[in-house]
Amino acid sequence: MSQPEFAFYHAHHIMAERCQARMKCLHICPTGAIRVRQGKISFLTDLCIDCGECITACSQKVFVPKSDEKDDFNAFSLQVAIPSPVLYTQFGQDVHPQIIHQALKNTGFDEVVDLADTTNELGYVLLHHLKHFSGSKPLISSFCPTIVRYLQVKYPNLVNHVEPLDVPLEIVGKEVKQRFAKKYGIKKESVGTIYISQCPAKIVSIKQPAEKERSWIDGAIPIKEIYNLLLPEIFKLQEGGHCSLDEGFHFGRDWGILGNIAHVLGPERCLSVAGLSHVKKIFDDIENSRLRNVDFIEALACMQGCVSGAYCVENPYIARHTSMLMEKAFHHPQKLDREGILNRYQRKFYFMEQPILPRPTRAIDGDITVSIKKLRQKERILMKLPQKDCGLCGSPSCATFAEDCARGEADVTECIFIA
Amino acid sequence: MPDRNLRLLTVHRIKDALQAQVVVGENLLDTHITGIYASDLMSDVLAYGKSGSVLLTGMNSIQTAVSSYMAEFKAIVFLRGKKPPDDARQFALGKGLILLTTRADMYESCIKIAQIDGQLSAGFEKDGALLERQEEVAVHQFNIEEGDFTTAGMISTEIKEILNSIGFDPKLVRRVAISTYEGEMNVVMHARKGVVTLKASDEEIQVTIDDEGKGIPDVEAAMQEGFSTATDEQRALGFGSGMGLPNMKRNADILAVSSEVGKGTCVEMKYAVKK
Repeated sequence: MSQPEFAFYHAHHIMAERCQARMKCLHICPTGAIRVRQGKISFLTDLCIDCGECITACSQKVFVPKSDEKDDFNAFSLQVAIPSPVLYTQFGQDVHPQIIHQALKNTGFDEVVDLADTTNELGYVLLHHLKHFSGSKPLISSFCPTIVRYLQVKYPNLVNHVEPLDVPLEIVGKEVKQRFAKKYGIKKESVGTIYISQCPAKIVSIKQPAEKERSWIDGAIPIKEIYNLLLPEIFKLQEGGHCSLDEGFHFGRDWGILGNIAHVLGPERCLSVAGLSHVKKIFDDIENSRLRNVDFIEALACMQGCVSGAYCVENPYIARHTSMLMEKAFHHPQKLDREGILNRYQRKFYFMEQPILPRPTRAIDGDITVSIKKLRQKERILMKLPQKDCGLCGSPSCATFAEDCARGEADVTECIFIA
Repeated sequence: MPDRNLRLLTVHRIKDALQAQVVVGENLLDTHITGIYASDLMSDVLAYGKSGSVLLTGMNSIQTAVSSYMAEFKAIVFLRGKKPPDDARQFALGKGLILLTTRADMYESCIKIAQIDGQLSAGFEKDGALLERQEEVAVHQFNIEEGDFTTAGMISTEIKEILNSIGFDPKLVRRVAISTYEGEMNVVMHARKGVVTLKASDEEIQVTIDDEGKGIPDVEAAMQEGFSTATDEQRALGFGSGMGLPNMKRNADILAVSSEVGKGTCVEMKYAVKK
């Protein structure tokens, strides 16, 4: 199969020997990136947007998350864990986030940093930015990396709609390196920032950022991988009965849960949408310039937001419920240094380092005339196909199969209705 | 036989060469054909048959006709004197497929056709070039139904996907999508039904929206921003702000509107493809 000019990093790799060709991944992939040819599974790296649907769908664990392990960070003299707020929702409503932080320290991290404060700060920045923004609207949230990649692959015209502010995680990474280097009197390079991730997309955004040369985060560990290490520590801490609660802990609203950005911006001009199929409809409307009364789109790839991430352990509905109860129980209002924030905003501190650009689109051929000829060939082939989208040929739908044939990547006889 | 030598062949010449009788399609014998395919296996016909060919086969069932139609064959010659069954004749009649029958067997027929190879005429180059050029334009048609707001926007989305897959500049594709969307909405709101035709080549993209409806009495007035005849219900849905035609004009390189009151409107939009 022909590969694009440059390969993209992805947070999973395929263990082909586990594949029993049950075709679940083939049908669920939102960009139709997966193929099974001659019994061998592969995916088109330019089309994959790291949503993690295949990882969740496959019962044979063919898609293996590529991630770092705790030991990979031994070279850093200080290891800082930055947990996704989703981690707090994985152990039930009674476990205070501070206990989880302590548990992380017990497993070997030197420091643990909560994302909530920076998220609050960025909320204020976003509100300010939107108020003074006069370019083409609506702006689209940069929070979900899958959404950003979906735009890059399928909506090249809309990439300039992505809000230019960076995500809380990156801002925290940038700050943490400075803060702890100063505190411990070490070099910035010796401070290792490690994200505890709810999904493959976040890991990819760290390994191959869409908007900068290098991420401020040095690595990531899936929640799934660290869960079993944390659980016994949490039990021990709860039995011990006491855990020093840090007063600076605010436990704010996590942007990974749908509706929380709209809560910051006000629902009048902000539309919240989750789940790629719904997101697609909204993006189509923007492209047709139909959505005229909305200034901001809060879009998340997973149905319930980040609590449905492929690396979560808890049922997403329970996690969401837990999150709401915890916010009620543990949230302390945070006093924002508005002047300081606006000052940093003016200095472009919160902005992405580079604009987001479209990914080279996967046209049928580089030459338009050849492309059109192949498209006509595709249509002729498609007429002969049964339109059942069974996937037995190894392409996700009859239309994709016809296109694969026209491209010369598949043979018509691979269709079981024809052969 | 080399492919290109067949380009001036008509079904008529095949009939003569095989001394065949016409079962269906007497008036279509002038049809040009682009190839010959001989097989009894319909799956081979579907997999390897080329559009525009004549099929030589000993298989006489309705499936022969259906498969040939799917493979875009022009004619079928049934061998060894076999006659196609009634359902196959009916099908062929409805689809413009020509059916012939000959006493010759497959081997004999193939040899006879191969002998026509010698009788080439000049001119096939021109004919061939015409066929080639046809292949270089993507043509798609879509139907719009009256008052169907639920699916409005589907056609422009589909057109956008087709143009993207061909590899046109995304900015150009967006202009086509926006203006097509406006045109689509106009048909949904003001006409009974319509047809959208997309033609795309490496030089030009053309979208024609042809509707049967009440027509526009004064096209020039309708071109002004803010001109609208939309109902309150339509406005409540977010349409009818009088930006439709002006928006189409802004996005297309050439916009031509012709309309007849009581009959319908035809909007033709053209977009130059920069290289």
